[in-house]
Amino acid sequence: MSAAAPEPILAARGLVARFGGLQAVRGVDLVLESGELRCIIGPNGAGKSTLFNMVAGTLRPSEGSIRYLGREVIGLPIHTFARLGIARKFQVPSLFPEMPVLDNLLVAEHAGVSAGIRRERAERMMARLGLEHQAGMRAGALAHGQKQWLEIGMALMAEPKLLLLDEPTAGMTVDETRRTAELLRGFAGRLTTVVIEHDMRFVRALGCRTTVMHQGRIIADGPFEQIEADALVRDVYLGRR
Amino acid sequence: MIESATTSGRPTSSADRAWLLIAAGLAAIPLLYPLWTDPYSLSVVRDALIFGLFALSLDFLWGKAGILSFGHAAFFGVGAYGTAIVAPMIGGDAAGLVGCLAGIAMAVGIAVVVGYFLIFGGVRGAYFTIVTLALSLVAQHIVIGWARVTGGDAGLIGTPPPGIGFGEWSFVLADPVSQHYLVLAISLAAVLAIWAACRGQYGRVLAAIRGNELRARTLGHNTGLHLLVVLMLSAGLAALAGGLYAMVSGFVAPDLIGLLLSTEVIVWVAIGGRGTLIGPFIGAFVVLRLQQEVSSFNPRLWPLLIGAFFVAMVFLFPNGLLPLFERAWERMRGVARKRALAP
Amino acid sequence: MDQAIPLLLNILTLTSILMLVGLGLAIIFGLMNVINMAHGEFVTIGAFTLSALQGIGGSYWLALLVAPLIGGAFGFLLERGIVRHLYARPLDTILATWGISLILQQVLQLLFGSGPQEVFTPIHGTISILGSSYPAYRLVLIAFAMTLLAITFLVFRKTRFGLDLRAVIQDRDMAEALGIDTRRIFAIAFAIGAALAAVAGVLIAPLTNVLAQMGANYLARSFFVVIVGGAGSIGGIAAGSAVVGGLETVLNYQVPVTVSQAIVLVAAVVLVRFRPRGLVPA
Repeated sequence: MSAAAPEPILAARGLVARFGGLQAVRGVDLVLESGELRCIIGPNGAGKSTLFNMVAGTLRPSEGSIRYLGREVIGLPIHTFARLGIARKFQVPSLFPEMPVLDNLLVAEHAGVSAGIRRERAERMMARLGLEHQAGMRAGALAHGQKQWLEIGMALMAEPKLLLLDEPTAGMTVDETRRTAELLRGFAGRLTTVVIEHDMRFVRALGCRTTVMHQGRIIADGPFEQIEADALVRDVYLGRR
Repeated sequence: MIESATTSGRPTSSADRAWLLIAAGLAAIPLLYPLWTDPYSLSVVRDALIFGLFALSLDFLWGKAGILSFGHAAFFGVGAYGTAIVAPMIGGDAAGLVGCLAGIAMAVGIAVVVGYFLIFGGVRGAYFTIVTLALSLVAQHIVIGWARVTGGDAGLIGTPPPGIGFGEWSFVLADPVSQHYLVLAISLAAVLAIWAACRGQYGRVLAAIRGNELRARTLGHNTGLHLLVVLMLSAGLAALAGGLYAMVSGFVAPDLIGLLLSTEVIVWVAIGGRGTLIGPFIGAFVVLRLQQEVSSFNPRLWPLLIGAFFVAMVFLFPNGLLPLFERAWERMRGVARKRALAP
Repeated sequence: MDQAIPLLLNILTLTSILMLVGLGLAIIFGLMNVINMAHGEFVTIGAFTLSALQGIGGSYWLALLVAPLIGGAFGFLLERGIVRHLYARPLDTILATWGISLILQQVLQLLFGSGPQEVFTPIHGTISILGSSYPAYRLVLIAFAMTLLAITFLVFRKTRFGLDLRAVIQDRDMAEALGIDTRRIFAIAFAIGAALAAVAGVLIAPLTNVLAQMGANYLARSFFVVIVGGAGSIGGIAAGSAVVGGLETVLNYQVPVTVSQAIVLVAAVVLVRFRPRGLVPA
């Protein structure tokens, strides 16, 4: 008897997002295996962030279903999505600028752990992010790249099972981008990660399965080398289609 | 910084210790005050403390959770009137306290109903503030109109002082000195309780909700529930202050529930420093004193001054006077340091 | 049938007053998310203008002409002096305009005393409508208010200014990009809203107590109108005014005024839970 294929961690099917007369996402399927690292790319307006909004629970799909760990999650309150293990980093920096860096991390931990454990985790995270010396500093005073990293750190604090990163390397230096790629590759197998990105160097460095969106639909899907060589994808990016 | 924003980490950081020292110092004054003053002046301080407690309840809601209530006197007044109406029905030494509990229960009940519909309906900011304004307005109208129960414009007299009794043994606080210490004890307990609760993760969560509610929600916090709980606690504390006022003064009137008091308490918190917990007490004391002086000069002048204050507050010192003092303090320290370093 | 006509006309009276007062508030709120806590004072100013004019021998109709000018002037000054600087700070606008409201109330009391001001109805007697008799003044009030609202609607829909206004409500940045002077639009819209509220003050004055604090009531009610009906469109204001005006009038027949106000408050709070943007969202 052959072993049954493991259940995908996320199975979103037939997702449609309608705003008035406009359809930002038209019938998208997204299936993620546990521990997978996936990239979503596409020109601006392709519907990538809208797709994220639906998977993270901040937008209710007009049609479709989203099964997370086998359970239908559409319509659940936003904080429940987070508690179920879906963590998100927004495209626009949204940490708490008035609070110290350490507090930003501490508040991102929603599980009922003891203060000591929480502090330990936060300090370990700061070390990993290279922010140990900025613990008491106002988060708003960090450099842009540091802010991005802090946000990734905040998303990781609650030990999520599914991590959604919307343009994590926007505004980062080449070195920071490389380090981010290393960080994400290191999660493979343990944490399912989906990344929306525009920086092709970063996407190449990730070396993972890549999904291409255009005008609300998926037009290509496969290993990055294959996507890179795909004529249709190239045309879409060059604005020919 | 004296701000109670959580500086995370060690159980008592130097900022915490400074705060505790100042709080203790300030508490020493009302603690020792009765030793050298007459009953009338003491009753004035006692009443100011009660209003300070009321201001604390608003500070918890506004300074910690970021929700501005324009009708907070509705809760204070419900506490006061609840006590004044229920206590005479019960009789006995504990009548006042039981009435007070009834008042608190009513205020919390109103907070739950209004809060549930507004908060879980996604109403925030300006809309929320307007509804609280209407709440105070409507409460005031009801209290004036329902004269049979509330005494109308004249109000109600005969609220018993706080006390408890078991059979033969009776313990009633009927004089200004003991009442003063009761109010002081309750105020200290309230300040310490809120301070302790806000030091840790809870304070951080509230600060996060205050800063960016949606973000806090995506981090897994049930922000609606948190806000509702804060509203309920704030309403209950305001009602407690109202009940205390009814018991120590023996008299309630519509000015305890209306718009003017609702706006005055905002002034007390704003002047004292939003979010500082002890600031509201200072603000209440300072402003009430000012009010006495101004009103004895010309009673018309006071609402005019309050109005002017609101405008000035918005344009000149949006964070209260405390930060201004802090900046002045730091500048002085900076000058002192430079002088020390100069050759 | 006997009862229904006066009831309907009473509802219409309150609704048309609420529409006049609510319109100004809603446009401002829909335009720039600004809540003007001094809006009730425009009504008061209108009522006091009537009283002052009649006091020196002027006619009611003169007041109808003068009050909107005075109200509009106050609105213009308020926008220029205070509101304009606080557009990005909604809660600060609330605090500052509330301060202005307190100041205005006190100044009025200082100038005119704290007792009710005397006003005279221009039209006495009743008119027979479909079998029931109804006060003539109220009929004139309804007619006048409706006409004024119709004119406002036409301005909103048919004029260049109205078009610009709607554009700014829809999308402010876009409107600016199209070359519309949004600041000018705000100032004019604010003044018009104040003028309409002042007219409402003149209209309502013969039917109520003219006191310096009368504005607070209209403030609360017009906020309910905006909350219930939705800001930024005339249809929303009409719906909100109808609901609030209708509910309050009908309840007033059965229960004391204070209870009916409480019920309207509860109804608004419950409604906002299910329709947070109002019945007719912008």
